[in-house]
Amino acid sequence: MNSSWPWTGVLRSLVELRSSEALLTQYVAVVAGVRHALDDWIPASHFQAFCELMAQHGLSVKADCVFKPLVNDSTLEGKNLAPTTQAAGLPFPEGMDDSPRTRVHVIVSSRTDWAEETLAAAWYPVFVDRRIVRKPLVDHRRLGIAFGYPDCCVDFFIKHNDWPRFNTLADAARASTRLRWETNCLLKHSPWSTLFHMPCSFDCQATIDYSRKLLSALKEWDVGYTKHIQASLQQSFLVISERLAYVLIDATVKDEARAVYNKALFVGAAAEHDSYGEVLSQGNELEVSDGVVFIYNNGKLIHTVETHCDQGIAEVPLLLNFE
Amino acid sequence: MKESDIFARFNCLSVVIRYERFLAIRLIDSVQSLQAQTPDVCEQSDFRENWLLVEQLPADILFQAAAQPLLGSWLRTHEALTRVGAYVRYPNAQPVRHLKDFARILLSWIGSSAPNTEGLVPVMGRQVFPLLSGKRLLVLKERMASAKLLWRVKNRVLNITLPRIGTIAEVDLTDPHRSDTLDSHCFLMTPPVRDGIRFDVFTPEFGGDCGYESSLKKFERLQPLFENAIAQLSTGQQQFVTSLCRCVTVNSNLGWIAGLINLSESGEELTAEGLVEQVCRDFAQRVLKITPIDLSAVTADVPEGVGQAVIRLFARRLTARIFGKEVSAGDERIWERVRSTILSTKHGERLLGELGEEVSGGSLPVHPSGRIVLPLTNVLQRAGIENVPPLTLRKTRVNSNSAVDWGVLDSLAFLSPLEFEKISEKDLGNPNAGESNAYCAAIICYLQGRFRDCQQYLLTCLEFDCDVEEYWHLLAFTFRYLGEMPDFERIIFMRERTVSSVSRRPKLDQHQMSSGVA
Repeated sequence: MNSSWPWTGVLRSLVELRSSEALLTQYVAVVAGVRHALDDWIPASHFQAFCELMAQHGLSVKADCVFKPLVNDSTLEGKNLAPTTQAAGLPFPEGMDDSPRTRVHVIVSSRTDWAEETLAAAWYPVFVDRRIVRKPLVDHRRLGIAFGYPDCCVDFFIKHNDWPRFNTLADAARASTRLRWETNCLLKHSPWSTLFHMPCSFDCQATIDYSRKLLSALKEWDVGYTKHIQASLQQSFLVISERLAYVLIDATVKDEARAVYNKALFVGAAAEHDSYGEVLSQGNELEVSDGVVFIYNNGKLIHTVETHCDQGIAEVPLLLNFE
Repeated sequence: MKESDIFARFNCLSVVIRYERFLAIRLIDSVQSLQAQTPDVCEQSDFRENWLLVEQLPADILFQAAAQPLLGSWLRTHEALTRVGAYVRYPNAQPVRHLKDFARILLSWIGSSAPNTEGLVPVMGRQVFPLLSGKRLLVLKERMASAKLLWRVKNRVLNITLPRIGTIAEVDLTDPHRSDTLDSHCFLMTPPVRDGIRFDVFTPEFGGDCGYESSLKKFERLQPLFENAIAQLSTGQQQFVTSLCRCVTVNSNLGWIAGLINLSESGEELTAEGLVEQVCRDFAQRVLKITPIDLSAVTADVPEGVGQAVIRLFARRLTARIFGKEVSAGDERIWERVRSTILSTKHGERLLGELGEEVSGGSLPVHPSGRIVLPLTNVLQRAGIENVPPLTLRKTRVNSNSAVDWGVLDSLAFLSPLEFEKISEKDLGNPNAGESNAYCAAIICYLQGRFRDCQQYLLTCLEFDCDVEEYWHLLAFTFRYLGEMPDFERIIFMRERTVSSVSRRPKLDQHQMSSGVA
């Protein structure tokens, strides 16, 4: 895979074993005690090596179950109930194979009791046979607490994590008086994030403290990486929903509704959700009004993006400029 | 069987009329409710003013409009936005735009019977504006973000202007082909009509707002297929199709709208058979809408939800009969399951009758009750938790593939830990007195983190009815919290459903609170 950064040491090993550069800072957070535990999806073929690496650093690993891609999924009921990941679940270790898309859902922690507590609440919605298996909502709260996320953010997430009805990012923005870069969660699917939780506001002090402690610990590992993270988080973003957001490169935000930009890069989890990257790339200015993103090229209107709240996800377009 | 006999089995015209009347009532009801609940956004979007105009129009205009997919499209979106609370939570996103879009609908209603009146339509980047119920389309040559079209009816002539430019179009409402446009800014086009069915991929509400040029390419590619499909219909098929279908479009992102047949981008369905099947689906959808039946409350062993299965199978089976083909054995098997399930549901016989099915009843199996009322509301009120709606469990059967119903548990997940503390299963009286009591007790224990106690109550529930996935799944999750993963896996992955195989454990102390691990 192409690297975004010259990884070294254990960070490099994590990238290679996981075939992913995301979530690295959260491993640092677990080692440094900033959070209690994390969950991740490890390629089955590297699971043993991953466990050995974790053990070398005093970390405990608990396996939950095996994830495999869905097959014949066009008529599966309940796909809308697992909007971020859609996979088939199998027991561990029976479901393991060497296929590159087979992954083990694991919990990692510096303490066995934290790992067990997190495992109990960490079930992720998957299809078993042809039924989607979900946990009750109260377990999401238990998981957030087990991870060690700020209580205020966990409570906020529980109330707002209902994609058809709520837009968590818009609600967090509404609860904010400032947009602090330490609370920027929009890059969580990239290596350049201090957060994996959704903050209750973009000036949540508990989240700010979390980010600062994490970066302080990370400096011991890679100073350059720390600086790059901060620079990445201090940018402007066009946000439509949790899975549809863009960072605006070299942007000047004129007011809360207009921005001039050089480039727009998709920052969501899955490339298949990048609906507007192409049209944004044809423009250099955008305006948000009445749930529409108007895209201009040198003053001429060239595209309109009409966002929706009636199609399963509450889309609320916003310009967020993190200071 | 002759085609005429097939069509005689259901009353198409009656369904259409009832559906359209119901749509008009839905519109008026929902608008009254909207204006009462969110007057600010109605004001801000000029919706209030536009609705006042509607109230001044002759009554038959609204009933004619109810027959057109454009109003159905607007109402469908409006009801969806209302359902998810978008007008209250995010009024300045799609909701305000949608209310502004009502001005487009209103403009499309202006016809020869309209009085002298005027209005404004925000452009909001659109290029295509339906006129005369979609018979003609006004196309702006340039995209504009914030401009507004001003329209005025005077002496049965519709005049449309843009500020700073002036009149861009004039249409004689008594003879729509007598029109005039300012060619530098716009033109009028007429979507083709064949046997009363319009082919329209341009109107944004139908084709999606992909820009006029992209729509034109789609149109040029698919119009010949549309013409060919219509030409191949027999007389009876044509009558059936035109009784329901007003317009055909192509938009993979569009849900069902009555009277609007939506075909795939590939054009595969643009055959006579494809068209008929889509119209059959439309008929079934309408029947489901006007029949007071709640199919969300029932489950059956079918690949998709019961409602979706009814629509899909009705359409396939009827189309096969119309074209003299065999229905597949698989489809027939699934249909029998669906039919049995519907017959066990309130108003199920009526639904099947509307769909032209024989309903002789009698020997059909009666399914156990699929929904139980949970006596939690009083318990919560005694704990000082008010405004809790009636709580019910929709039982998911082991053999179905539906997601389990966590509705009750999830509705209580927002309570604070302090509020959880106040609830006790003792307030149910005897928690083991009945299935619903036992499930309520199980819910309380799960919320409070008393997983061993929760297990005891769930085992009691399973003794009453072991064919309930909610009981099994909740039991499985208690095993996770008790560190007994093998038992979780037996239930979830190996689908163990034998009550005797789940051994009873000694009760732990009551009220043992934890973060979730025993």
